[in-house]
Amino acid sequence: MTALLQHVVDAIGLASLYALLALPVALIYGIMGLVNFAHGELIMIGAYGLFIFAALSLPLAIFLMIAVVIVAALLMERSAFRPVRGSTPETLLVTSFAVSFLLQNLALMVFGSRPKSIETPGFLNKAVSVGGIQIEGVTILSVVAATVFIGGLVIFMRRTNFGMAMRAAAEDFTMARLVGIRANAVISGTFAISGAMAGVAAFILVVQGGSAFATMGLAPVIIAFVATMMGGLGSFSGALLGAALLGAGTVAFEVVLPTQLRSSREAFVYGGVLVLLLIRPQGLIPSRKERV
Amino acid sequence: MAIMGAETDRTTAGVAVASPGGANAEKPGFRAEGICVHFEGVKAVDGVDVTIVRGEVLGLLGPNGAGKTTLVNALTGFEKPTAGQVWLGERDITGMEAARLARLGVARTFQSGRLFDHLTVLENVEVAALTGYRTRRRAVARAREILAMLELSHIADRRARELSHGESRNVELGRLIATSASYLLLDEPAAGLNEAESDQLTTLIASLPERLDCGVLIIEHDMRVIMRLCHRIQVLDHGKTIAVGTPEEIRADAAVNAAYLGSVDNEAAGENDAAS
Repeated sequence: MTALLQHVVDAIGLASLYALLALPVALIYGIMGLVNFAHGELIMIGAYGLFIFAALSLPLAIFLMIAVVIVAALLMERSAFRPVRGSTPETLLVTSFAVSFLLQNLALMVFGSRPKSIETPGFLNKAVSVGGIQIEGVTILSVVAATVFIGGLVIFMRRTNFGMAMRAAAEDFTMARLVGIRANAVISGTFAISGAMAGVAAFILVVQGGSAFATMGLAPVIIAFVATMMGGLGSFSGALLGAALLGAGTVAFEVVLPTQLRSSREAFVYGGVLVLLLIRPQGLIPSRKERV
Repeated sequence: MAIMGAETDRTTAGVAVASPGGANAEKPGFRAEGICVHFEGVKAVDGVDVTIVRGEVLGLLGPNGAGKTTLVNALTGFEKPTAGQVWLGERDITGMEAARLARLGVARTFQSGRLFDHLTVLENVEVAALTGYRTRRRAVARAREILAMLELSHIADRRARELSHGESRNVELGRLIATSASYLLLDEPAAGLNEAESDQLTTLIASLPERLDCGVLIIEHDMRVIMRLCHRIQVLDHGKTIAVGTPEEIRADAAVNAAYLGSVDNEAAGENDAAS
């Protein structure tokens, strides 16, 4: 029983992190039809931000880092994606790859290829024991952060002007503009949200991995992409479901696979994703039509 | 958050200034002169003048392919005119982007209705009201007011995708009203409605110019609707205006009968063909 609960806790922790990765990708796809592969580089920028601000107190460093990532997200939208807005999905995708590689290589030039190790408070990697279940500080952090963001976004989308505009724009961008919603404001706002989430994810990943490096955004963005694909690209609830399934699946395979196969659990997880997409190519909760 | 807040403020404030939502605002006139839209040699619209007058419904009539929708596209920023100019008061709005025109008070509907399916009826209308009525509370109040006016209050909380076709068209009109536009261009709003629904919509549209102090242009095939609704009718054929006048004048116009009414009423067409 305890063992099972332990796995559930682990799965919830992983799913929370995956939700933090997948949601911003889904939001941006929903609004402008862009699969933003450069989202991973926002996480990378956040990690280097923590490295740069390491001398400051942790709360201040996190605050500044998130601010930097939000600004980076806004700049990315303004300089790279706004000029190609409304282009074909292929153009948008290639643009996001270009931005991604550009930022990776810039990071290599500035920081070099060796990972920069970053100190984070020890308690985050320590586990507390609750009724025999081991819960790491970073797991609690992931769950809290995901809950705050998901809850906050739901309230934001339902209760505020801006959220309402975002929901309308996610559904039919052209029509939203025709009823007076400002495209630039909605898209910039969405990028700002994605930047904030990338910053929080960056902190969690740094706590887990202990370092910042140029290509660190790749694995998270693939997870984000797969989770949103599973759920149905562009749908908010779909991204959450995808993240939950991916997290749970990863933990489940770790448990059920024989020891010698555990190192290749990812192959099994993504094999499962493939099967799912064969059965439901449109994802579990398909999103709504029409884009910018 | 600060950035988003600022964006939000600017959105609402900017729109409020541009929007002619205020009751006392001086609303500029809408006119187009010599509009041409040519596609690779095809003259879809060829030198058409249009004036939409506030307090009036202008009907745009003509057989399929006469250029009605293309003309409306050119007037609302969906098609760049090959030649000609569109004016909103003193302002040249020719070829201006549709979203910007919408904020200046020129709003339109499409032949195929396009509601925000996952939003409720109230939210659909509210989203359009947000631009003119800065705060959420005022936007909701305005949206409820419009729904009450359209007798749609009972479906306010339903999702748009659950609506019948007739209800959707009504909600669409509600959303258009909520934009506080001074000029509403409706592309076949009664398409696909049954007679009772069509009558109800017609009555509603007829009341708009006075209620909202706006000008309405309507493309409609249903002669009953057009004749009941319009103060003036402009008839297009092959991209050109062949007649402008009151419903009575249009009904009596030989050229119109030959070009269009004849196709509806074969006997009349036969007589007119013989006459001309």
